[in-house]
Amino acid sequence: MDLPAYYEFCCRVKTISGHDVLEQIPEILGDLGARLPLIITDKGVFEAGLIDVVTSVMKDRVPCLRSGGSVETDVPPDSDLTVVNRLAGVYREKGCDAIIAVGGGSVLDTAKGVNIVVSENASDLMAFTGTGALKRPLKPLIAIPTTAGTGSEATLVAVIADHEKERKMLFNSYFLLPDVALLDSRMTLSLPPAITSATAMDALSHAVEAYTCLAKNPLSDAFARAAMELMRDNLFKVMDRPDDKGGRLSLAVAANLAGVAFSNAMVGMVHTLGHSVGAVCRVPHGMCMAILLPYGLEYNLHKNAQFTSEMLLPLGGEQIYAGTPKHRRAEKVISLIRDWNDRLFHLTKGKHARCFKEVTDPEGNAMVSRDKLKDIAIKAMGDGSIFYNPEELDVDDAMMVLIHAWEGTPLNRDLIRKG
Amino acid sequence: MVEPENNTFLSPVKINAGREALAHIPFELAAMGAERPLLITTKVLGKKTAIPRVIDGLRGSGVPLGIYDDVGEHARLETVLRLAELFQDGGFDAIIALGSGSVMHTAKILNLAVTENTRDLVPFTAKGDRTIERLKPYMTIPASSGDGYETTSMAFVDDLAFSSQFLMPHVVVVDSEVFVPEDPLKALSGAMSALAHAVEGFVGPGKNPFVDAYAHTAIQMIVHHLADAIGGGRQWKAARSAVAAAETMAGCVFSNVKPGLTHLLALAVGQKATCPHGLCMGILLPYVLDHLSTRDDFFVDSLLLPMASPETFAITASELRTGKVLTLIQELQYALYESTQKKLPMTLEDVGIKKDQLKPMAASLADCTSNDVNGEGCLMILERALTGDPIDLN
Repeated sequence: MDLPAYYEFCCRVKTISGHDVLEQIPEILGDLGARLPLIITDKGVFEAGLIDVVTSVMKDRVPCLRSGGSVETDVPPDSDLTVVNRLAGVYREKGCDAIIAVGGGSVLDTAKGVNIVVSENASDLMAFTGTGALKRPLKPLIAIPTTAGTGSEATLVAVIADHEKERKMLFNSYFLLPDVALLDSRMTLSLPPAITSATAMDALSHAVEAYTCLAKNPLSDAFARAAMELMRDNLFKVMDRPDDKGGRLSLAVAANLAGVAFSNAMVGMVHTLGHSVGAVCRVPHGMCMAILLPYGLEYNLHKNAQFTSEMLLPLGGEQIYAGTPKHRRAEKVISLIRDWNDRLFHLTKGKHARCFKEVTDPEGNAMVSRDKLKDIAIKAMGDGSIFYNPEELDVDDAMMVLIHAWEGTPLNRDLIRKG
Repeated sequence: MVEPENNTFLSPVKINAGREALAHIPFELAAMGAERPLLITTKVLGKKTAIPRVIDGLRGSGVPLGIYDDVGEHARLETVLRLAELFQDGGFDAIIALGSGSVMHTAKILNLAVTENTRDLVPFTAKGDRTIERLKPYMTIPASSGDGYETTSMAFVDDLAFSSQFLMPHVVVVDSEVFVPEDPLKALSGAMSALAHAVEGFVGPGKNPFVDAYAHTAIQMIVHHLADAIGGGRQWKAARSAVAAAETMAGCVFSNVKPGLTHLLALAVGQKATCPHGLCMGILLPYVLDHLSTRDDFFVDSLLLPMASPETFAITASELRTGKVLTLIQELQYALYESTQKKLPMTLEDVGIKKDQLKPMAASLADCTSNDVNGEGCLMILERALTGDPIDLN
C-alpha cells in the first residue's frame, strides 16, 4: 500500500444524519451553551417552506425564541459583505448567541462571515482573510444543508464578496468549520429532478477528483469511495422515486462524505474549467461538473490509469469490476459516468445537459455560445484548483477539452500534450 | 454498503502524518491560537535521542516550550495536579503530549483540570454529575506503542475513568523520526488493539459510512505495514509511523462506537493475564469474528475488502468471504509469531490463563449492557482461544 510522503486529514464537524434529526436542535444548542440562535437562510429555502420545519421543532423547546431571535431570509446567491454586516447587526441587536445556517454554499459562507464579525467584534472583515488569521473558537454554528451537493457544511473556507471594492475575500481557518452539521432527509425531499441530478453530480465530481488528484491520501480516498458507493446505490433510485426518504438521506450523506474528501484532497481541472464556465456564462455549478467530469478523467488518463480504474469498484459494483479486465477498467469508469449523464438527461427530459451546447436557461435559450470558449479557457488559467491536476493544463489544452465538452464528443487522447 | 440511518459521528482529531510532519507543529499551534505549549513526556523517552531532537526542533522554530518529563508508567492524579499548578504558574495555554499510554491519559485530564481551573476532578468522571466541555488546544506526538486509548475519548487516571469526545486530541502529529526501537511485543500490543478496535467498528452494528472510512483505512494500513514496522528492516520507521497513523484512526473509530466483544473479553482476560490488553485482543479476535459471523447484524465478510485487494474481494463469492477473512487474520498472526521468534502469545494458555478461570470471566461480562454478549457465547470463545482451537473455515 503506497502512502503519500506527507498528508493531513481533518473531518472535525460533528455530523448527525437521519430522518428526524432537526428535532435534536434544542439539545444541540444546549450542549453548545447557546440559548438564542440567529437563523440565516435564502429566499428559495424560505419559500419552499423548509424554515418552518426547522423553527417548528424549536418553537416550544427553545424558550428564548418566543421573545426574540430572528429568521433572516435575504442571503443573495453570492454572499456579500453588506449582507454580512447587516446580519451581524441583527445578531447583536437581538442578543443572539449562536447561528443556524439553513441552505447551500452561499448561506453558509454568509453565516461564517457573520460569525467572524460577531465573535471577533470586527469592524473590518479584511483583517481576518487568509490562512491562520483566526486565533480562537467562534460562536456556535450549526449547518443544515438543503441540497445534496456542495458539501460545504464540511469545509473550512468561506468566500465573501465586497461588491463596493470589487473584490472577493477568502477566509480559511479550522475555526470556520461548523460545530454541527445536520443532514435531515426532509431538507432535500422536495428537490426537483434536475436539481437532484446536478447537485449529485457536483458531489460525485468532488469524490472523483479527490480520489484522482495530486493531494489524495488514504483517508480522503476512503471518504471518496464511500461517497461513490452511496451515489451508485441511490441516485437512480431517487430519480425514479423522488419521495424515497432513505435514498434522499443517503445522497445527503454521500455529498457530505465527498465534501470531507475534497476539502482534504483538493480538486483538479474539472473544477478549474467548471468555475470558469460558471463565471463567464452563469451556468449552474453542478451542471458544469456533470458535463466536465468524464473529460477530466479522460484528459488525465495517461497519468492516472491506476486510480481511475480503482474507482470501478465503488462506482460500478463488484460484478462489473470483476467482470471487466484490468486494462479496461479505467475506460469503463469514464463510459459509466457518461452513461449516468445520459440516463439523467432522459430522466429530466433534457434538463440535465450532457454537453455545453445542450445547456439552456429557463426560457430555453442556449447559455454557452461556442465563441465564449476562448474566454473560458483563458479565465480558467487563474483558478487555484489547476495546481492539483495530475497533468499540467495549458490554455490550448483547456480549449481543446472545452470544444469537446461543448460538442459532446470524446477527447482525442493522442492530442493531449503530455508533460 | 450499509445505508446510513440515524447516525452521529464526531472526530475532532486532525492527523498530520509523514515525512517532516514535526515541521508543521508551529503552524498547527498558531492555527489553534496556542502560543505557549507545555510538552509532557516520560524520563525514559527523554533519554532516547529522537526525543531531544523533537524538542530542539520545536525550540529552534521559536516555539516557547515548557517541558515536563516525569510522567510515570501509570497516569496518577498527583502528577496531574502538580502539572496543573505548573501549567497555571508558567502561563501555558496548550498541551503537547509526546509518548503513549500514561502520557496521553495524564495530558487529557490535565487539560480538563486547567480548563475548568479545578483540583476536584471526581465530578467529571463517567459516574459524576459534571459534563466535560470544550478544552484547551491539545496536540499529541506518538513516539511509542501504547494501550490503544491514546486518541480516544477515554482517559484513566488512578482509578478514575473519564469519557468525553472533548478529551480527544485536536491534532496528532505522526513523524517517523520520533519513533524509537522498542520490544516488538510492545509494538504489537498497540497495533493489535488498534486492529481489533478498527475491525469491531467495521463489522459491528454501530457501523456507518464515517466509521467505515476510518476503520477501513486503519485496517488496510495495519495489515500492510505491521510486519515491516516490527521487522527492523531499513524501512521500519516509515512502516512504524504508518501503523501509528492507523492507531490514531482506530482511536477515532473506538470513540464513535460501543466497545465490541473483543475489547470487553480482553478486559476480563487482561486482569488475570501476563500480557497487555492489546495482545489479549489479538488472541481473541479471530474467535470473536468466527462467533459473530453467524449473526446477520454483523458484517464479518465485508472485512475482506480492507484486508485483501479489491481484486480478491471482487472475485471471492460472498459466501466464501468470511472464511477468507478468518484465514487472512490467522495468517497475519502466524507471520507475526514467526517474526517475533515465536514469542508472540497465540493462545490464552500462552498468557497464563487456566481453564477454571474462564467461567468467572464469562460471568463477569454478564453485567455488560451490550446485547452482543451472552454468557454461553463468551465462554465458548474463551474456551476456544484457551488452547488455540483451529477455526473450521467451511
